[in-house]
Formats: sequence, structure tokens, C-alpha cells
Amino acid sequence: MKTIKQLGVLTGRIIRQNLTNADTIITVIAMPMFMLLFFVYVMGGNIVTGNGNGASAYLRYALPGFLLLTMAMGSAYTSMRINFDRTSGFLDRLHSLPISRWVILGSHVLASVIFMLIAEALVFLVGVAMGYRTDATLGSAFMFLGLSVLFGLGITLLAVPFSLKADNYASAGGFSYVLLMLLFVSSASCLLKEWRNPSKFLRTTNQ
Amino acid sequence: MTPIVNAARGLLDQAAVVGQHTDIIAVAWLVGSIIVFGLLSYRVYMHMFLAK
Repeated sequence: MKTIKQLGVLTGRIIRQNLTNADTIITVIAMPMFMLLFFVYVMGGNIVTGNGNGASAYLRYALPGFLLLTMAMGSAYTSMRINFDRTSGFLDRLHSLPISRWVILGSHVLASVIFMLIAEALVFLVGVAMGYRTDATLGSAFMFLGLSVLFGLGITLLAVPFSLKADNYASAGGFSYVLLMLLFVSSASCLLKEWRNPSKFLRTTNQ
Repeated sequence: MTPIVNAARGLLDQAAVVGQHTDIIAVAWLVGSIIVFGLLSYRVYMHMFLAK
């Protein structure tokens, strides 16, 4: 019970830091919203998706991919925050306290997944405001939530070793942009069959 | 990433369901990543912690 309380306190601290940091809010929440608006209203009408033509058809195709993209952007800030805590000596201070070892790292992971889900929900609401309507059943919606949690957990845990080993704050989040690149060269923003050379080889390598 | 994106799309948009195998591949990828990188993260973290 004490460990759960410690986990809650440390997780709450990180989420509050994220929600009160303008840089984090702009990059993790506002930027995916602007990208969604740009892709749908500027480029959407010119991208073939199989759903028909126009911005609303493209929105229907692209929103799920942008939700995952939003989560991937959050992993960069998870890396930076863990690295900042390490380099600033905050992790050492926590280690000197009677706290379970796994709680310190676990709070970063839990906070990261929760913050990613908040960002994903906000981008989804923007999509709904733009006209996106899902026909998912309650079961599918819960499965999507489960998939999002797994995705958030996966990319957060991928970020942790890099964030611990990176020498400084700036380089800690660099690898997360590789994740973003992998999402851009997936079926997130356009159909794989519409790709042109030399990117065609990524259709098979990014499976 | 493509199976994960397709699975997410299929869950939100029933008309765009790519196939159940996509969901299974996506979940397998994610669970595998969580196990591998979870263990790696913990090992790196404990190594740094114990090295002090």
C-alpha cells in the first residue's frame, strides 16, 4: 500500500510537470493537432485513401495513425524528463530515500502512458470536431484503448534505456524521432500501394 | 508500425477492418516490445543504480 502511494505521488508529480510545461504541451498536444489540420485540410484532398475523395474521407483514413503519432511524440519528452531527473541529481536524491527501486522508474513509465493517453484523447476530440465519426462498438473502443496502452507502454520502455544512457537532455529524445519516422513510412498517412520509388522498399521492411 | 496502425484503424473504423491477423500481429509486436525493452530498461536502470 505504501509503495502504491509512493508510485501515485511520483506519477502525479511528473504529470503535473508535463501539464504545466508549455514546451511539452506545444510539442506533444498542439503540434499533432496542427499536423492533423494541415494533413487533412491542406493535403487531404490530394491523397488517395480508398475512402473516397476530399478532406473528410482523408480524415476518416488518417486519424487513427495520427493518434499513434501523438503518442510517439510523447515518448521524446519522456526520454528528456528521465534524463533531466538523472543529470540534475533528482534520481540520486530519490535513491537516498526509503522508496522501492522500481517505483522511481515505474512512476516515469506510468506518467508517460497516462500523459500520452490524455494527448491522444485531446487529438481525438479535435478529429471529432473536424467531423470524424467512429462506428466502433463498445468492445472495439475498449480494444482500441488497450492497444493504445500497449503502444504507449512499448514506446515508453523503448525510450527508457536511451534516456538513461544519453549524456544530456537534448540528445535523450533524439531516438524518439526515429519512431516518428517509422510511423510516417507506414500506412498512417497514405496507402502503401500509392508509394513511389525509392520508398517502396520500406513497405516490406516496416511491417 | 504498419500492423499497429492498421489494427488501430480497424478498431475505430469497422468498414476499414484489415483482418483479424493484423490485430494479432500488432498485439504480438507490442507485447514482445514491452517484454524485451522492459527487461532492458530495468537492467540498464539497475546497472546504473548498483554501479554507484
